[in-house]
Amino acid sequence: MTTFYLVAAIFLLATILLGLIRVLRGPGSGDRMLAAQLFGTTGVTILLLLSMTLETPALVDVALVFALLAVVAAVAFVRQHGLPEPSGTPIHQRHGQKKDPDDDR
Amino acid sequence: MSDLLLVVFDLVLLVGLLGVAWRCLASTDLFRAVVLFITFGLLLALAWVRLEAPDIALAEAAIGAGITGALLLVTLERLRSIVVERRRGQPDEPPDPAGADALLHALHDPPPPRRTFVPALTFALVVGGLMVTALWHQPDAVGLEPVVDEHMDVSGVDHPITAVLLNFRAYDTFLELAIVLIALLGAWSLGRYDRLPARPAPGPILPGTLRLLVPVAIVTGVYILWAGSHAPGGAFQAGAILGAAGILLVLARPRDLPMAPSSPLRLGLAAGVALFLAIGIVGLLIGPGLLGYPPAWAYPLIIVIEVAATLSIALTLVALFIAGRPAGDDR
Repeated sequence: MTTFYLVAAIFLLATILLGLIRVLRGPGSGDRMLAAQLFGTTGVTILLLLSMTLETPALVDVALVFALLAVVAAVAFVRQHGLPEPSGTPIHQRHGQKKDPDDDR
Repeated sequence: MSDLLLVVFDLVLLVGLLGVAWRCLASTDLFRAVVLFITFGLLLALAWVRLEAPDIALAEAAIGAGITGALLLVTLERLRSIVVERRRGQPDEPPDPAGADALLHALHDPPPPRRTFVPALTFALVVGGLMVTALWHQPDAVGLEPVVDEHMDVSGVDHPITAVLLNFRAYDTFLELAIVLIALLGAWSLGRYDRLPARPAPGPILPGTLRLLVPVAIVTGVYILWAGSHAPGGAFQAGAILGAAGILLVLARPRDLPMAPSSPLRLGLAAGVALFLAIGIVGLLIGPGLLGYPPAWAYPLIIVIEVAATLSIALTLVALFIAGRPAGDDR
């Protein structure tokens, strides 16, 4: 069973490396960020598989923290690169900036 | 069989780490570099797991993959809005090669002309050669593990890493806490809190997610703190998780951020260092030396210090994320 877990972990690690293509190519920033989020999920699975293989129960805690905190970057992304800012909001008057059409980046 | 598979896993991980690090440093698109950095944090946490250091993996998972990513994304957007503001300020001037336009280009535009690889290759070969020579003559030392194991009964805790961090080498941890505090003082001395740039996020998904996640994060943070006395975990990791919960709350309402009352905030920020130092000085006065505890009191004292340190680290991380002193706080 250990061998099976390890093969699965290696396979998942390989999928991360394959997914890097999306991060490198894009084209949009959403594609890149979603790939990173997918890596987070894969990372959780790899950690759980490793915790079974290496018989280190503490790795389950690491996986838990991983699962929780991958969301922080996603929330920051949604906040910073989400929908274009409507004009007339307070931050616009501060920065004197208009609606930006190229916000897909 | 499984040894061989572990070697394969390590090799794939190593290739991934080096590749991601290289692309991250070489990337000219800053957003892509940030995403690659988040990925690098994830792979690095796996590498720490393989090096049998789950404590560091925990810290790396909390700080590298979570908080730093959010911090870099917000910084990138801030940089962008500063550049855009500057550019709108002087619309009629010709583009200045060192001015705001150049900065905006650096943020988003295609790479500069390719440089020759020879200097970089030479440098890598020389440094690599030096490192190999240095490591070649290292004796196969067992490290300090037997020494630590021998003294575990006087440390007051069951987890060797916590024993080293908060008892045997309490100096290091104390100074680390002081550095975190000094970093915040540095950020605060640079200026007042500036509004975080943020886009509206319509729909119930973001508030719903936060409502579910923040309580779970708080419970997990307290659990990791508690686990520190007998398993991987402890103040830094717990502080990072609680800090992440705080950052989620900041991101939930960046426009109307409620300002913390300044005296309790300062008290909380300094609590870890202050309490650590106070207990250390008491230790000096009653016998066991600076930052030493009487063995019978070690466990409760370590718990007290860890709780205070967790609070301070969490608050400091959130304050560093906001960057700048609270508005209207002119002390």
